[in-house]
Amino acid sequence: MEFSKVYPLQSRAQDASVKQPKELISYSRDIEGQYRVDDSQLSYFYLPDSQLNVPGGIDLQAGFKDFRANGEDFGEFTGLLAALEAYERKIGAKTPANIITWRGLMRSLMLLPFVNRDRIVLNIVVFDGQIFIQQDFQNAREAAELEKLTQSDLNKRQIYSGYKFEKIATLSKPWAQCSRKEIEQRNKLPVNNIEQYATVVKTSFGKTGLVMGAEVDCVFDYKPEDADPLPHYVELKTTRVLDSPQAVFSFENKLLKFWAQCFLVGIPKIICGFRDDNLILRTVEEYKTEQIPVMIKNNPLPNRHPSKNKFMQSLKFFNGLINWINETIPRDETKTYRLVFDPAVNPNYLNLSENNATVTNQLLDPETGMISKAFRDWRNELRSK
Amino acid sequence: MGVPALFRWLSRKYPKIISPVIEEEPIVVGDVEQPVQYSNPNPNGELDNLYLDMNGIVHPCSHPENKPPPETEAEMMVEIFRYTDRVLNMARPRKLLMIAVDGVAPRAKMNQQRSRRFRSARDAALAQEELERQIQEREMRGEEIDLAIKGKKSWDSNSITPGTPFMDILARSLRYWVAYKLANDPGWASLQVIISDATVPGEGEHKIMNFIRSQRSDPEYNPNTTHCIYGLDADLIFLGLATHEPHFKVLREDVFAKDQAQRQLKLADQVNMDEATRQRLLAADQKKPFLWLHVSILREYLEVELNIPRLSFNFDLERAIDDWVFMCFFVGNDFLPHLPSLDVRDNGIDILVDIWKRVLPSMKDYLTCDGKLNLEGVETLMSHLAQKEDEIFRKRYEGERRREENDKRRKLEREQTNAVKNQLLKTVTKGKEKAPIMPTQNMTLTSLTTGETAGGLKMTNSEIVQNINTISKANAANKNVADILKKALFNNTEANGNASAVSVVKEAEIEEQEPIDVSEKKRSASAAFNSDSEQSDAEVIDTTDSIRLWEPGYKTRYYQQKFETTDAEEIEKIRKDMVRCYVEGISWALLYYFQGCPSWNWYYPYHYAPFAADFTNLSDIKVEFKQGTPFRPFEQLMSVLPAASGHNLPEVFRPLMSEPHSEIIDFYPTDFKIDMNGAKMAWQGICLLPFIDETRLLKTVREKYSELTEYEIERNTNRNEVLFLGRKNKYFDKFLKFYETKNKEEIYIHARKTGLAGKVFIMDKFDPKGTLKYELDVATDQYFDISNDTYLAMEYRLPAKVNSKSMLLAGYRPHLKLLTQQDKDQIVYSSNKFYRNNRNFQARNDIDYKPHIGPHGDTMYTMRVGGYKSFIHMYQEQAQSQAYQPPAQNSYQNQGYNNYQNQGYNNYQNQGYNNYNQGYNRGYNNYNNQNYNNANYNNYQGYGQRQNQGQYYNEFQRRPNRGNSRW
Repeated sequence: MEFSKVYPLQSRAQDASVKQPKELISYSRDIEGQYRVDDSQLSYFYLPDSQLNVPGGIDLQAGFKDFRANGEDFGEFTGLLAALEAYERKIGAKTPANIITWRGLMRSLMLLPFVNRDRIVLNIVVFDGQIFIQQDFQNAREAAELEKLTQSDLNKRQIYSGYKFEKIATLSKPWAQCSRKEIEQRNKLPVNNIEQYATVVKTSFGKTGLVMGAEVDCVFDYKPEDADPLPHYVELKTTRVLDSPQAVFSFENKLLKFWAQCFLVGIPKIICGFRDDNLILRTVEEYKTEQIPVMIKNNPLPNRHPSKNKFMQSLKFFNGLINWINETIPRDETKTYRLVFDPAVNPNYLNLSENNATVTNQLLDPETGMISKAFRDWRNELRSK
Repeated sequence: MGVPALFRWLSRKYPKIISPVIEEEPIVVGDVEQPVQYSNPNPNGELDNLYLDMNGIVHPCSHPENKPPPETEAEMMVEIFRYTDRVLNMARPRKLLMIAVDGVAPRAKMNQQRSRRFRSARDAALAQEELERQIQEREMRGEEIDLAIKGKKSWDSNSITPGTPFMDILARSLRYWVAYKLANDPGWASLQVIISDATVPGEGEHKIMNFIRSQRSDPEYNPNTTHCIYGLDADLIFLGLATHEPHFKVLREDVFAKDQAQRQLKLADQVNMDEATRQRLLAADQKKPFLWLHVSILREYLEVELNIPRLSFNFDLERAIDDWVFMCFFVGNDFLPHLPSLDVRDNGIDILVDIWKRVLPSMKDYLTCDGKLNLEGVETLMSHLAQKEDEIFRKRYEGERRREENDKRRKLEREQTNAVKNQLLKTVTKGKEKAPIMPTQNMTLTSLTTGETAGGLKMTNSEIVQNINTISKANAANKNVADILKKALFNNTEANGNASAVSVVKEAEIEEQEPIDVSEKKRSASAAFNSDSEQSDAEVIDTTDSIRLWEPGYKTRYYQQKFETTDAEEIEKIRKDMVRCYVEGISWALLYYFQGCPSWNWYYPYHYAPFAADFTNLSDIKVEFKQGTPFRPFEQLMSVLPAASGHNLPEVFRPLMSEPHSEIIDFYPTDFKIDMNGAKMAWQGICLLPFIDETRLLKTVREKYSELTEYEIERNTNRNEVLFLGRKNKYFDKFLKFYETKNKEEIYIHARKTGLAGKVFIMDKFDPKGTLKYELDVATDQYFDISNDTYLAMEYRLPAKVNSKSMLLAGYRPHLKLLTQQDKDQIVYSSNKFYRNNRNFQARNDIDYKPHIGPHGDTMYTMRVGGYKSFIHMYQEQAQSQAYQPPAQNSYQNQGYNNYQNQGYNNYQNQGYNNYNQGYNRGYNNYNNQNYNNANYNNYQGYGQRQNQGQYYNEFQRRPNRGNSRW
């Protein structure tokens, strides 16, 4: 029988029981795209208030021409699995989790009841009793190409300004070890989105243990050696200045996305830079992740479309969804599955089905499939111990 | 620096930086006074770290000015305990206490120490003679003098130098006291104490600076740490600014408090003081008030003061503050003589800051950068100052002439009035105070009908004629002046009246009432030294009249006189060398403040400073320093003590100072010249002592080391700081284990756990199972032996030195701003002379400073237009201001309106509470209000197009915003 299940977007779990996320291990990707399981790409936040008073402001499109963009990056597991392997070697056991995936994918699933314009196609592979979820590369590639066609120069610069903001607001070493010149000349540094520092976080929703890989922008003050570093991480964002109530409301939608992104991995602070239409940084604001729902609730501006509590709703939806995935997917390592949300076809349901043979073979290929060879070998080694 | 002068200047110019210390009164139950509970919340706001510059406590406790001194050194220690306890109860640090005693100083400072000690030894000798004379006098009159007083020799304050036995007693006493408090005071439970005593090289205040700087280099350091430093030195204010730790305050005694009966005790009083007076003085001393000087608020003022529009580079407040600190110590510091044209009392700092503001827009960068000097900038500054030099000297001279004239005139008038008074008051039996003594007021009223006379004095005609001269002169004098003098004669208080005469009177009177700091003496210059004693060893010279700074050609005369040569070439050489050394000196001092001591051996080899006009071709000068090593304590003692204080040194060294055949006897002259150099106060004169040749001295001294006893050798070593912890400290158990396992490894601690970073290792001398004995020879029921298991002592070293940067740390949250727009405008728009008339530099009682202490709010960013929170905030403000139809009441209008209009766009933290100057602000508000409402908030159409937006924002930058140049 052809395996095919649906999950309604209206569905909500009874509660939203979430465990506090904890970091398992962190890893870095350098300018060449090489992964290393260490903190080499960890950056430290430094953007004092006085720098925003500079006459002329901080130009977030400076250096646009020298931007080094990452090639295709649709979420391969190379780095994540290397880090997991290192972690498992350290504890000498398998990571106790049901689902291993990327945080970004989980975020888009979580917000589906409210953010449902785009098509989502995820591939699910079962390996060694655990579920691995990844984006479907084909679909992602098509979406990216479509976007490139409709992207204007301004859009490209706006995207660039996000990376630029990250560059000018962080230091590669703790402040005390940087020279004055290094700190003051940050706006001259070349920007890229290849260098990355990522964390691997374990949490659980209901009965499902979830491990996610997530890129972290920087650490606020320092990364402690013997305590959980998650409370020290910061997420950096940029957006347009708010100059009208409509802008404020659309920003609140963005805030929902930021919140979901940070909540999933336990990042407590979001620092948002506001840039005007000339891409000059005008103001910066700090938000505590846990305060965002309260802030939005207390917004005094008269709202024509008051929202129900989107935060709680998303959590409950996600709780239900992730547990459903965990329960529904049979632990059959010969098959792969596909979770699809297509607003054009059916905006009310998520569709879970089996992949066809071609795709399955691709995904399960021991060399080039979803699970890297090194990881497969490691798990074999672990099993034989 | 002239301590009172600088402090007075600062508190007049920036009045709100001072606030009184609120002390908790001990509760009195019956007859027993309950001690103040340290663990109670502090009424002054909470504090993390307190730093004690111990010399500011040791000096007043061991040789106080306005009460009788303690009898023995042990009693001095107890007095120090009591005083320090009081200071601690005022500040109540919760995380860290650092006690820093002056250790061996860098050579550059030693010269000043040397001249002070030589002079103090001479003064002590003179004082002793005077005392003996007084005793003799009184005895001749038949008074009986207590034997104890007769035989007493006043204590040599030169013992307060590292390496003396006194300092050793002090070190041991401090350790005892800290252990005692850690073991017994519950408020000290989690406090960490670092003692940096005289065996750790470096001046006290600079050891504190080094410590703060080193803590900042730790990534786990809390950027919102609140600091407080106790000390009397004005330098501490600059040190506080130089740390760039914004939550900083200085604690000091209020020497200018009005109800202070702080008379300096004269010798005559001390000779036969009775017990009642003694107790009264002691009691008064207990209650003297203290002040906070808030560096955080000083930074607010400086942000306005130093903000220059149209700079060719970014305005950076931290760099501007560095420049300001540089200019302040240019005017007066401990290592170099100040330039003849710059003096704090002459508003030297204002002159320099003015020049700096004018010169900076044309320069490429600030004058200083993290402690390095931009010599080009200094040259520009100096050349501008040079243009003013002539005028400064002339004005100074004229001012002095005027003052002398006024003094003479006043004296004459007083004599005249006295004569009149003596004559006239003889006839008055009742109501002497109200008696009119001026003949103009003595006009008798004659009733036309009855012929009776009323009023007037019964002065016969002959008497009037006899005194006609004085009477007519008195008449001729201005009537107001007469009023003043009359009142002054009867009441001895200040009065109002004619400006010029009165200001002279006022100034003179204030100067007389001024309680003065430790080393000031109130006698006139030459009189101080040459008057009574026949054995006047020093010759006081004053070259002012021969140099005549107010007449052209003074530069040549200056060099000729000071260096006793007329050879032009030689003078030129000297001049160039002086300038080079002076530039080295200011570079050295700058590095000393911002990075730590650059060289332990450098010093300025002249007694005088060059003129500003001589600072040319500075870029040819290359400034380099060799670190060198600090002297050992005995070596320092040999470099600064005169022969008379030789008892502080081990015996083997004393002959080196006094025997004629000693190789270094030329370093210890008993007679030396003092050059007043135009200064007024005795202590301001320059001692013309020969500079010590380091190599020769060290060689001779070190030859004697083999003859020292073990105890003496111990006193001569330089050591590490010591960290004390109580049982409740988070590290207690961990460190105790190190003692138990005798593990000598160095532990590196970071700031996260307890707010302290550094390297710690076990001490050889500390035994956790032993006891610390109470050693002082003073009977007490308060202090007793302490068992070592109640506390822990470890050796402590600072974290590795990192190049320090003058920047704010990430995560710093500013305090709630105190200054109102009116305060800021006063700085920007008032002329320089305005605050001179502001005599009121008393601490204010009307503002509550507690909410302005420490970090405020939850974010490091100020609210600006464009953000989410700011949009909502502005919406709420407008709703509030529209909801209330404001009557013409100050409070409401200010609350809503001024918040977002007054400050331009940037600063929403000014609550406008104190903004009572409504009328003044009204026009300003409307201007801003119009622009704001029309362009930004209500009119969204303007934002549709991208280009407009950009233009709009740029426009706002260029629009001149009064007093708000951040855009």
